[in-house]
Amino acid sequence: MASLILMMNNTGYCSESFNSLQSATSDEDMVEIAGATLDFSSTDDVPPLDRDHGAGIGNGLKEAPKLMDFLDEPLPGVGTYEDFNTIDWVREKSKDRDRHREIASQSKESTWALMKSISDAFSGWLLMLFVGLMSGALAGGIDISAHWMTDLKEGVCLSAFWFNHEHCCWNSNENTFQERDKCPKWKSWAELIIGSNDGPFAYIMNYVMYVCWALLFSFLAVSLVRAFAPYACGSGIPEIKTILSGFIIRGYLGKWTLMIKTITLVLAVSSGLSLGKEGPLVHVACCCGNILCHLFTKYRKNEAKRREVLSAAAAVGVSVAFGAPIGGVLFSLEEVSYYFPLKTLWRSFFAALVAAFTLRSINPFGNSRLVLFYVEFHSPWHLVELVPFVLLGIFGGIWGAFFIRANIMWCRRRKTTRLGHYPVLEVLVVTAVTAVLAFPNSYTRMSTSELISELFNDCGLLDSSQLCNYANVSDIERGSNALPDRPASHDVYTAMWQLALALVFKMLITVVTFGMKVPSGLFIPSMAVGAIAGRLLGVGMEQLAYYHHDWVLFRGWCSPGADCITPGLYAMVGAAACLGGVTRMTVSLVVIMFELTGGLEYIVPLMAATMTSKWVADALGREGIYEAHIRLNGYPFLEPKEEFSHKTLAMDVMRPRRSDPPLSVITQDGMSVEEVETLITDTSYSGFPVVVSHESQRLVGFVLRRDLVISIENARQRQDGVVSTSQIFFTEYTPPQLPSSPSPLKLRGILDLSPFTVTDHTAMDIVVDIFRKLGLRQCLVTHNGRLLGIITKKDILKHMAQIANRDPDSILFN
Amino acid sequence: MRVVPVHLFPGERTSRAGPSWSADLCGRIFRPLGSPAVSASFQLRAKPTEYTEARRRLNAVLHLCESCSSMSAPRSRRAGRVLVALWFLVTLSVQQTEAKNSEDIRCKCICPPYKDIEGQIYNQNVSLKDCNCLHVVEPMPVEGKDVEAYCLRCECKYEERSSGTIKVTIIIYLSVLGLLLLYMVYLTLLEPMLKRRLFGHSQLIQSEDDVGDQQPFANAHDVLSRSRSRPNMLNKVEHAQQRWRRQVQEQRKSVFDRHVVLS
Repeated sequence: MASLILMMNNTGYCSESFNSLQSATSDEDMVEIAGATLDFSSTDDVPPLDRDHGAGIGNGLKEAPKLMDFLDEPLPGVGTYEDFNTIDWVREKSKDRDRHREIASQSKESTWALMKSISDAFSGWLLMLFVGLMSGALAGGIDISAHWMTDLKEGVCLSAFWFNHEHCCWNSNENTFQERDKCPKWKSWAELIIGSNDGPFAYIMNYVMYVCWALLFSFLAVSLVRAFAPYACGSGIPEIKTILSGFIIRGYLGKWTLMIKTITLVLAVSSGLSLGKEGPLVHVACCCGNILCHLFTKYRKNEAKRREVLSAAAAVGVSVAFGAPIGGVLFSLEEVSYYFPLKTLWRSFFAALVAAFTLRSINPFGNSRLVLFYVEFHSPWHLVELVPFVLLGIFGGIWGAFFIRANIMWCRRRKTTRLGHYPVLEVLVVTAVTAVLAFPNSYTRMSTSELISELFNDCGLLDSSQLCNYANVSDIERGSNALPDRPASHDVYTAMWQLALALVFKMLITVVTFGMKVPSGLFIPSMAVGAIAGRLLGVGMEQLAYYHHDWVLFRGWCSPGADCITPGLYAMVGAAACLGGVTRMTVSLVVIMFELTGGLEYIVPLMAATMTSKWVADALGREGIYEAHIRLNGYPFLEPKEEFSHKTLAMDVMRPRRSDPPLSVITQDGMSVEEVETLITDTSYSGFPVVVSHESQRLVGFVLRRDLVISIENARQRQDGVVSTSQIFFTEYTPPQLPSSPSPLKLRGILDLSPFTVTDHTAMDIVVDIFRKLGLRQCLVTHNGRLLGIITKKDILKHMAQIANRDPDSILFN
Repeated sequence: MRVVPVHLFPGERTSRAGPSWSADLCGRIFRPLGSPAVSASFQLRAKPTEYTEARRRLNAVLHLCESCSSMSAPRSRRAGRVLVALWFLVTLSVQQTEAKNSEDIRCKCICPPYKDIEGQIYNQNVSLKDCNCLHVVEPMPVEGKDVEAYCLRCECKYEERSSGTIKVTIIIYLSVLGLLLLYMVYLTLLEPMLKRRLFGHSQLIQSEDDVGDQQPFANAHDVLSRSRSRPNMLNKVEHAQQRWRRQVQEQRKSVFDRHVVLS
């Protein structure tokens, strides 16, 4: 007997693992069809053990098929959503509450249940730990590989091919003060191919190799994306924003997307295109979060809970991208998340911490920093300097608005015209143009992160770069690193010219690069634009102060020989302003910048610049780049920042309109299976209200199309006697049937008994508020207590588009 | 007589009445694991008392293998995760062991130009406590009283890296990239060619046609039927691959052709 029980337990284990194995096929999905593979075929000789464990083994082995059991247990697939649909937050949250309540009540009964409840409570934190570890590790890998591949465009390390230029010459004693990374082990392509590194021929050789590598990398990136995971292209933040607001894009956060995005991100970044890795890293972290969610039932089966994890994962993404854990949490709160309770805040905090720690322990740059462009300077700033900072803010705002407009125009062109038919060619052409134009200018040839790092850098005595080659003045003998303002040398003026050209180049090329079919982030290019502009202004200010220190403006604080203006700080402020203009972030941006620099004293300049930039950009164009892309794609995203101020009523928005046929409803009894099936086939609505009768139109509940379809199909196959003429009941008790009639089908289990209702005279701004705050999917409209119509999220979005004089048909999805 | 253990083995399987896949999966694990037990039963087959003993043993092995398989099955789908975790552990351990490797530490002193001496960079493998100008700058370019002034200007930084991590990362990255490229080449070039050779042209077109199913019940049917069919391992892999390819095709259509998402 005992061995028999053991055996059955084992088969139970096996069938469980079978389920998980099979559900692995749908692992790719955004929503795994929860329990779709649950073994409910009672005809099978392996009974589900948990159902009647105490019922005795003989009974268990020879159990007759239970017909009505389906109603007690949820059917596979019921309660899930189709692709490109919106989830119902209210339903998901109440599902989770029920589950939680059940676990809590069971936990008093036995120790095992208590353990289960503890592990359930703990699982959220455990998941966060995993997400942090995995994203941190991936980010470290991406950093190392991208660094190496970027340098591969210029040459190769002969002693160990896996080292990039810096690490190749890590221990070399040949590097000089002028050329920091020079050593015999590192060979440029010209040296390898033609044997010398001087002369025009070597230059051309290097040029050609640079362009070839860039083309190769971008070609590989775009073809991998095309072949394996088309969803891996782009930045991902607009889509993640939409997903977090409740939209479903299957496969967008799946395994393949993760792998391809990670691999191609490295290729895209190292191809020298004007793009960054920050946005895609958010996507990568969200993929990690989604995939790891499958480990825990709590998160696997509940879309709302899963979105909490994704919010935290977005924070992790920024945390590893900028090495700014707190900035990441604030980014998630300010920019991407839709529903962000305090619990998620703490979890994001923890996950961001773990991720930053992981990345730090990998030490991808070999300098114990999390980002390449970490800077540290502490020179003070003067109140007067707020004026140039505000000017930078204005520049950032104007550039942000211009960029958004131009980029959206270009993307619309790509979406509608023939340009969109040649994604691979487009990427290749843009890469070729970028590489050909970028190589001659040393500031565009280096990777964008390096450029930013150089621009942020404050020139000291130790720096020998062109940008820091000031004319030395005689009184330098003071033995400290605090240098006074110095006159610029010829080199600095050359650098200024090159930087100005680089600015124009970056501004234009980023417009066409963002949105191509490779992983592409926007943070780094916008920061580069701002940093260049800021550095130019900073050097200009410095020279102005040096030559005109007797002006009223400078008299009080900038005497000769004083170090009063730091061009690096201007670059930083400019970067923040431009990024703020494009993304319209404020708090999180300042915190990210402050974490990058570790200088508390620069918070006020950064705040002034970002705020100005947001004002200016908002005045020129209402929405940030992510919202603009969401609107371009027509995702159903109810912007929480926008206000709805029109005096329309619910009855103006609801369906059916006056001229339309009446609302399709299902009565709670008296409809046959065939009638319901006809209704489903004839209409394309995603749900149907259930009423008492057609005459009274009093509301009973709401049933979703998908649930209905799955339940009917299942009953037809498995329940004896359910045929086309069977009656469908949504009532609690089935009335007695005539013996001759086919057996009835009870579907009360799938009925939502508490649908949200408003009256037809409710003002629309309140309805919009309800939709936003509760995350509703649909809301029924009643008049005198009778069902009158329905408002869906899509109706609201269409209505808002109409009010804003946009095409309401641009809202594509439900 | 020789037949007995052979009977015994499938007999066990059918009487257990487990789902066929589990037998299949267990069989795979069983083969290497269970072979001594089988040979043992061969030796014992003459004595009927020990025959039951062998049976019990086999039972035990089967139990073992079943619990193994129940553990290993979810693991297989976590392969990617495990890979990442493994890589993470490897890099961490590599870092632990090699951090103190003399190749991986350096003390770099940058000394700016001083009087008529050019700026210079000094690189030494010294520990953190010795990382200062006096230890690292050799030969000292200035004499006596100038040493202090010179050294005040120099900036010495102690840096650590992990060459092992870099090596492992780059090699893993390149191999994954290489595998993906091979698979891509296979999918785009070789497979259509093979298919054409095997099935002829007509079937290829037909199989591409029957992908779209627009009826509202088709989806539900798909969901429900998935639980019933119990194919063996190979079919399942095939099925999963087909499903994945259909998904990718769908994604490609919506991203590249119709431009509905991600444009």
